[in-house]
Parts: sequence; C-alpha cells; structure tokens
Amino acid sequence: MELESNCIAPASAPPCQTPHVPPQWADALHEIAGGSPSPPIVVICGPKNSGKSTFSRLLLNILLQRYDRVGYLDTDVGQPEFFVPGCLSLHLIDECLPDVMSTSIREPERCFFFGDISSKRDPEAYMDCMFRLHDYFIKEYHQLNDHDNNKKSSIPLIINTAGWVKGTGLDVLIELLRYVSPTHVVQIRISVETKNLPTGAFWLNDKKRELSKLIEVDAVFTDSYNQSVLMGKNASRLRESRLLDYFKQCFSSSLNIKTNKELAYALASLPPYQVHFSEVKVMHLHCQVPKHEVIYSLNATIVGLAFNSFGPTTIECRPWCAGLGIVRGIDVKKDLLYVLTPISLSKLEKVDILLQGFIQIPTVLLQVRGCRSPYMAANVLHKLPYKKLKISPPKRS
Amino acid sequence: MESIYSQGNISSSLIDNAVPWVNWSEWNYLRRSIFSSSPKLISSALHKISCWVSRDCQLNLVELTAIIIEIHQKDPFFRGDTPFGDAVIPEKMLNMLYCMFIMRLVNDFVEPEHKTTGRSISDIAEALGIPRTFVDIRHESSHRSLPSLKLVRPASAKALEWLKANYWEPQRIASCDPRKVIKSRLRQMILCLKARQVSLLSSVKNKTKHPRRASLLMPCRKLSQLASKSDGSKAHISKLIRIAVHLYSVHPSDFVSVLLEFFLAQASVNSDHIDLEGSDDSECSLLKPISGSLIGLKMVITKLSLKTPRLLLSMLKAVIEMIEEKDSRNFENGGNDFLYSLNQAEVNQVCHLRWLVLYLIRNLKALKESGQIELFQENQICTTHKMATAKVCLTGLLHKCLSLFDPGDKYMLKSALLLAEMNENKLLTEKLKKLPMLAFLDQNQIHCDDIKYNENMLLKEEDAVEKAAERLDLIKFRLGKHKNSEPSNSVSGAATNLWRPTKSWGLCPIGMLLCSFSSAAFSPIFYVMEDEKEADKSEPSGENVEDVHSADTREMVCDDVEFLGDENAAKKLKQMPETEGSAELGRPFLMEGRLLIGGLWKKVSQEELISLESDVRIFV
Repeated sequence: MELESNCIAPASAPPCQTPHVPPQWADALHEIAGGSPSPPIVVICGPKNSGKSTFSRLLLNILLQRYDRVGYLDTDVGQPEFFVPGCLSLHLIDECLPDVMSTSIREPERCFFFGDISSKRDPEAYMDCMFRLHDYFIKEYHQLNDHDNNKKSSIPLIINTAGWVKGTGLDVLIELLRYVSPTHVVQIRISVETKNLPTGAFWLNDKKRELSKLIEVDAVFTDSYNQSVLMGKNASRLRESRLLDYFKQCFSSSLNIKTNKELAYALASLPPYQVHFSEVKVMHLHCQVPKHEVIYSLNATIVGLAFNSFGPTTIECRPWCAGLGIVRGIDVKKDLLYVLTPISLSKLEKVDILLQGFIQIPTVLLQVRGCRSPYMAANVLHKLPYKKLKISPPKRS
Repeated sequence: MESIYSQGNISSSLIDNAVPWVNWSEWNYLRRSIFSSSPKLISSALHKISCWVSRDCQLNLVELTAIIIEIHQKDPFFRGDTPFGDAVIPEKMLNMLYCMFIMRLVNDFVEPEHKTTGRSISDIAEALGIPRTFVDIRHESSHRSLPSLKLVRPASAKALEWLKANYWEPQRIASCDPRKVIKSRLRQMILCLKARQVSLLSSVKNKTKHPRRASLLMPCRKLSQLASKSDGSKAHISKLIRIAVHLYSVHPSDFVSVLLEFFLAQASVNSDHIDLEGSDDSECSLLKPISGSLIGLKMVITKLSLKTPRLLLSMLKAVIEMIEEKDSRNFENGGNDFLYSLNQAEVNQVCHLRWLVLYLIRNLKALKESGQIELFQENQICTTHKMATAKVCLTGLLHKCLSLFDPGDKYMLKSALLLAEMNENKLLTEKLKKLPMLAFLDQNQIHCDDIKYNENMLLKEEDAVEKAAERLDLIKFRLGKHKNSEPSNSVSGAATNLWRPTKSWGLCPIGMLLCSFSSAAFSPIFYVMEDEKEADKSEPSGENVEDVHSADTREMVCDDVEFLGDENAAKKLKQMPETEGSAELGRPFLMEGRLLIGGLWKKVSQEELISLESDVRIFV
C-alpha cells in the first residue's frame, strides 16, 4: 500500500515528499490514526538509527489530516526533531511537514534545557523534565473540562524517545511508559536482535491489564537506512549545524546568510542583549564550579535562558527554558553580561536564570577571520603523542 | 614562506582548537600553581580546572592531573603531615581512588585505539608510552582483586610524573609565548625600517648642507651596515609587516602591550636627548631622534596602522588605561607622602605616555582623513555592512582625554584640540583653547613663586581629599542601600526591564568586549573575581585594614616569587584596573564595596570604610 496518496493534503499546503513507506509501517500508521475515536497518545521507541524520527514524522503528517493540531514531545536530547540539542521540548504542530527526511527548527510550546546530549549524566532530572512536559500537555491540550470543550478540542500527542535502550536507558524508557500509559506504543526493531528492546509489554512488571496497544514494526532498510547510518557518524556535526541554524534566527532571512562563516561574522558583529550580572542566577547543571570561577566558565559559552515560574528552582527540578543564548562577553566593571539570542525581547524579559550545561559552542563561531576569539589557540596538545601504530586488521575472536 | 612561529626548532601548526583558557599565560600560571608546593595555590588551581572542565573542551590530561593531585592532597603520605579533622580518608578508600585513577588514565588513551583496531591493551599502551605498571594495575583492579595501596601509591606518583612529561612539558614548549615571537619580529621590523630610513637620509644629506645634521648622521654608518645584513629592501619590509599584522590579529592584547613596553623602554632611554615634541613638524622629526629606535617604533606604528587601523585604537585604549592606572597609583602614593614621593621616573613615564596619546591621535586623524577609520556617535546603531571598518567615537575619546587632562600637560590638551577639530566642533575648539590659559598661568607662577606653588598643591590635594571623601560616602551609601533593598529588589525587580538591547556595537570576537570609545576589542579581565576568591577564603568581614593589606601582599607575592618571576605572571597578578569615576563605583554587586588601593580594587568592609573615613577627616 502506498502512502503518497494519503499525504496529499489541502491544495494550499506544499506537496509532501514521502519516501517509499513499507506496508508494515503504513498499516501501523493507519491503525494509530484511524483506530480510536479519542486522540491517541503514541510513544515511539527503538534502538539508535532505527527510524523512530522518520516514523514519528510520517505519523505526524497522517494525524494532521484528522486533527488541526498535533502535540509532539521530543525527548531525544542528542538529536532533537524540531529544536536544539540539549533540550526536551513540546511542540504543537499545525501544518503538514513538507519534507519527512529532515526538519527545521520550530519554536517550542514549552521546553526544558537539560544541558547535555544524553540523559546518562542525570537520568532523574531528565525524567522529571519528560514528566512535566507531559503533564503540561495533558492539562492544557488533552484532558479538557466540560466548559473548555467549546473552545478547543482535545489533541493527540506523539512522544519520540532517545535511542538508548539498554541499561539505564531502558530503565528511563520503562519509567516513561509507566508514567504516560500511552494508547499506542510503537516499537521499531532492527535486524540485530541483541540491540533491540525486549518484546511484548516489557514495561509492565506484573500481569496487569494492558491498556496500551503495542505495535512492533521492523526498521526500514532502504535508502533511509543508509541515511541513518550516515547520521550516526556525523551526530556531532549535525548537532553543531542545529545550533548554527538556531542562532541564524537572530537575523532576518532577507540578510541571506549562506555559509557558516558568514553567520559567524554576522553574529560577532550583532549588537547583543545586555543584562546586569547580579540580576540573573547562574546554575551549572552537570558539574560544580566554585563561585569565583563562574564568570570564567560562562564567557563565550552557550547557556539555557530559563525563567522561574514555580517557587525555588533546583537542578533536579529545572525551570522552564525560553531558548538558548551565547554569552558573548562579560563586563565585570559595568556588571553586564552580553548575550546573543534569537528569542524576542518580550520573552527574554522573563528570563532570570542562566543554565550552563555541556552544550558546546560551535568552534566556527569563535574563528571569525581577523576577529578570532581568545578561546581559540594553536598548538594545543589534546592527545598523547601517538607513535605511529601500524594498524593491523582487527582480530576477530 | 617561513613560519611565523619559527623560533628554535618548534614548528607549529596553525590549526586552532577551542580551549577554556584565554591565553597561554593563564595556562602557564595554572601549570605553575598546580605543581607548586603551596596548598593554597594548588587548591586555587584545582578550582580553576573545575571551571575549565565545565566548559568541556576535552581536557582529559588536565582533568586527570587535577584528579591525582586532589587525591594526593587528601593522602597524608603525600601531604607530609597528619591530616586534621575531616580530611582523613581511610586507606581502603584511598586504595580505591588510586586504582580508579589509574584505570581511567589507561583507558582514556588506550580505549579508542583498542576499539578501532582491536589490538591488545598492552600493545597500544606500549606504543603510547604508557608504563606497563599502569596497565597491570588496570588489569588487576578490573578483573582480579584490588592491588595494594603499597603498590598503587608510588604508581600514582609515577603517573603524575608521566603526565608532566607527556603533557605539561611538551605543551609548555609547544605553546611558545607569543610575546617572545612578537618581540623578536618587532625588533626586526624596527631595525629594517631604520635601515631604510638611513638610506633615505643619506640621500637627503647629499642635498642639504646643514652642518649640525652631519653629526647626527654619524651613527648611521653602523646602521647601514646592519641594514645590509638585515636586508632593508621593500619586499622584506612588506613581508615583515604582513607577519606583524597577522600576529596582531591573533594576539591583539599581547601585541599592543609589547609595543607599549618597547615604547616606554625607548622613551626613557632617549628622554634626555629627544624632544618628543619634535613630531610637531613631521619633516623635521624625520631627522631628529635617530639615536634611539623611537623613530623606528613610530614608523612601525604608522606602517602597521595603515594596514590594520584597529591597532591604533587598541593602542589608544591601552595607553589611556595605563595612564589612568599610573595616575591612580601616583595618587595613592601621594596620599602617603604628599610633596616628595612622586617618583620622577614614573612622572616621566606618564609624560611619555601622554605624548604617545597625542601621537596616536595624530595618526588617527590621518587615517580618518584617508577614510580608514570611521566616526560614530554614542548610542548609534551600526549598520551591518560596515561592521568591519574600525570606528572611533570622538566624543567618548575626547571625554577620556579631558578626564586625563592635568594642568600643565600640553599633550592631552593638544589631543583634545585635535579631536575637537576632527569633530568639526568650533565652539568646543574655542572653549578648549581657553582651557590652558588657566593652567599655564599656574605654571608661570610655579616658576616664580615656590610658596605659591606649594599652596596651590595643597589646595589641589585638599580638593582631591574631599573628592575621595565623597566617593567613600557614595560607596557606603550604596553598600547600605544594597543590603537594605536586596529582598525587595528580587520581588519587584522581575517586572522591570532586566534585558536591554545593547545600543552601539561593532565587530568583536566572541568572548571579548568592545572599548568604550572605539571599535577596538579587548579581552575582559575578571580581576574582581580573582579578588573575590581571596575574600571567600579569609574570615568574613570582621578583619581590619591591616588584614586587607597583608592578605593582599600574600596574594601578590605568592609563595614562590622566582616561580612567578616571569613577567606574564606578574602582569596577571597585577591586573590593570581603571578608574572611571564614581558612576562606575555606583554599580551594584561586583564593584560594590570596593576601593582602588594601590592600583587594585579591594573589597572593603563597612568597618574599614568608617576607619578610612575618619582618616580622611583628619586631613581635611
């Protein structure tokens, strides 16, 4: 069964490019989209590079034929769908994705800055972010009271997960599934059986009544497989280009910034926002930095710009994040921080917390010609002086 | 083309990496601290490393060093004393820590290679030069029973030596001090330019018949000999200029400070012979100060600023800051011993620096006329397509010049006049022309009447003391106000505008700041935080003034002066500050409760303020 015909949305929308969708996937998609009368909550899981994202995008497009809006909760902090690395974000999508193979940056409805590209440094905080985004969605868009019903209708939710499915990664996934209790769980399985998730409803420990519909599909091994292998190799470059795309939003598209070098140059000369250092709180998410070193650790790094709307914030209980910023300079004498960010001034107004994690600033931004950042140096020894090893073919045991 | 850094046998790649340190002197300072014997320096170095690690620049080797040194700090065996209180760690735990450290050390370097090639750990370790002992300890502790403390303790010391030999030393050598390179290149350039000058002069000499100049040209013979050696050809000079421009673009602050160092050294040597004013008439100046390399230095500045106009702005900023710092220090000294303490050499230096400001502004004017430097108004938003051109804010610069203006100082006044002219502000020019009348009147009186001079001085001093008292009051006021308003601030402050778009900005590397009056970028100095660290450690508030002083001599002198004798480190500790008047002092937080003492911003407690204030009253 071909899916293209289904995807031809209203004439005004751009034509959707859909790759060849295998029948197994098409069946699964239709089962979710057309199965239940109430809007589904779908969790998509599976190992790395198995096609979770592709599946979720296809599902998104299909659901958009029936619903005006679809919620998308992205929990993959390494390779996020619509936002920047290091963030968990909730999006409300109201238009069909023109290209299912790649996505562009979208402003999230709500997001948290986790501050790392994997949940392994702090699974507790990571799960807390997931649960709170989910709760927010349920409260605002899914579980509607009677008097609200007139204004808006309940909308479906897609939850995309990270590809870490072993050890702690599996534990985190199980916690998520138990907490969310979705209507559908889509598990994508690859041919290497040992790398897959356990079969069946692995998240239920006893023989409880199973509420979720479990759908298991095989990964697609066509061109999208090749692409996903490629993606795996260039994960860090993809992250970097994501960040660059994000900061490109500082400029209107009329400026026509094409290359990364042009972007770096434009960012170096863009008038930043300024804020009094004493008016913002700085939090280090994944390491401890002595108080007197905070300024040193902030200068020329990427930070999450967060605001506090509920009581005291701790590292375990993250504040909402408005977006990312680059601390481009600190003037100690004037007590000023200079921050580059694409978020609007009205949103920025609320920001009073800077979160520093391990999201590294793309080095291309520090290497503007004739205008090199002091945080770049030549002659750096990163590795040991390898005596040339004769690389013999790996011995297979 | 020969490498820019070809000093000795180290040839370096120009591939840049992101690093958490601002320059190599910061790295070097850390290296000295962490391998020093002072627990205080070591712990500050460990703090610094934890900050570096938070920036995540793949610092395995630095991080590992920090870990082992931290463990050693906890081990009575290495501390050489009996641990007190909470510092006691049971031997079993120490054993675990050492084993874990060695496992990490080996795995960090061996694992990647092992994964890709599948060769055995010991083979790779051998190829990497990791001692076999470490590999064995790794193996034992991961697969068998934990090796004994007797074994791992010496191994950890060996590991530290190994890290020194495989990272810290090679890196120290590889990261050759840019200042050295800059110095040697600048010297070459000065020599070349002078040599060329000589050949030009000899042609002039043939034409003129002035007897005095002939004697001045005597040393030229030597120079022309040198010139033939160092090849003063045009091509050679332009190559040198290219290299210098590159060096400036990579190490702007080092470059400027070396230039200034050169200038001060030359100026002090030549100050007896050279009338600095000779530059008034540029044709004449060509012939005058040949004896020193000041002329060469001047030519270097002119030539380079034609290529990178930004250099001029960076220099202006540096010179003005230096004058401000020296002035403030003189003021401090003056406070102790009013009339006689002003060191003559220091005064001369300031005078030379003031002359340099004038010289730079002259150049600036020339560059502005040729369109290489643009003017901008304060608070003007720059258009994006003209970001790259160097810009200067005349009013800002003028403001600076006037604030440095000292009665009897002709250079600053001339600078201000030049700026006013550039600004095409006739009214201002007129006003400025009137300004010196008063000052020169004063000067005349000085010569004829010593008593009057003294009176004058006393009046001035009284004035200064009053001003200082005002500032103290202001600080006190802010200190009190901040304390009181803190809780309310955080509640109501959220509604007010925390964030504002910066009004004027220009091209500036990320991590640097823009100068207040031009588009020159500079590396920020977080010296206040350096100070904070000290305050954090010492007992809170209750200490008196003497304590502040002694604390800071401790910090300044450090435990091993010879170690820190290197000028960079000394510079780093000295940290040039800048007085910008009470408006700056009024800012909350960082500058709050600080006084400029001996050229450093010191944290001053309420009690100290009161005691200081009472001292002030005695004078008034």
